[in-house]
Amino acid sequence: MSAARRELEVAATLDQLQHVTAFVVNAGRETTRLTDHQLYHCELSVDEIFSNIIEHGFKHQGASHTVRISCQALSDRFEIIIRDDAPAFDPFKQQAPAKAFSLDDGSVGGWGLRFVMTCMDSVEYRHEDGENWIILGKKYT
Amino acid sequence: MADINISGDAQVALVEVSGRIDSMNANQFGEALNSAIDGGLIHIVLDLSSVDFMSSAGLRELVNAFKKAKKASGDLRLAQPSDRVREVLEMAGLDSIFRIFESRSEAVGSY
Repeated sequence: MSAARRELEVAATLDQLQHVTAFVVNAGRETTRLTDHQLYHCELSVDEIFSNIIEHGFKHQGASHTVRISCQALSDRFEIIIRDDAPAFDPFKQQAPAKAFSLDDGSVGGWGLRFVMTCMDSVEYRHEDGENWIILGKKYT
Repeated sequence: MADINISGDAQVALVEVSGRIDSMNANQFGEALNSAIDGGLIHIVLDLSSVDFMSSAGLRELVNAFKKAKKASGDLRLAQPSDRVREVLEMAGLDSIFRIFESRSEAVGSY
């Protein structure tokens, strides 16, 4: 049997970040048997996804928009869904940077997506009813 | 929020950071490092033992400061990164780029 889904809606601004990550970690701690390390992976992934939405989806102009986060303890995993109404964008279709990093690289970054894909057991993108849906799963084992 | 303390001198500057370096406050971390380098502190030891969270935004600031120190013929070396910082360094493939020391004294003594 699954625990009740918990939901949070915040303004699409970066100053909401710690509110969002704390919500996810608390939900995971209170409704699952995930370890502190597994919860840290969830926290890191949500930081990367939320900041990506604010920076690239809304280009820091999202004050009149909201982002909705919901969490639910399913039978085999902790599920986190992040929804926004920025233009359709599938972050998981973007090219992750090569693992080998060189100091000669002109720009640095692109690691956030790799963190999400490494830390979470499942990642999924959908565009539904005008919204981007990012669905993350962390298994209990 | 992260606390950042800079001490030492032009020979070796010690930068101690504690707390979270996330996507909201990473620029504060980067500004502190850049301002130290601009002020002539180009041989830096960064103690990350008390950093319990670092996102990719924090890593970007770290690498930019590293490149800036190198360009000024200096270096930025890491001392005793916490397990969580070490994990993100490894995931980003940066553990082979930075010189990482198990203690602060080893890192300072490496200059």
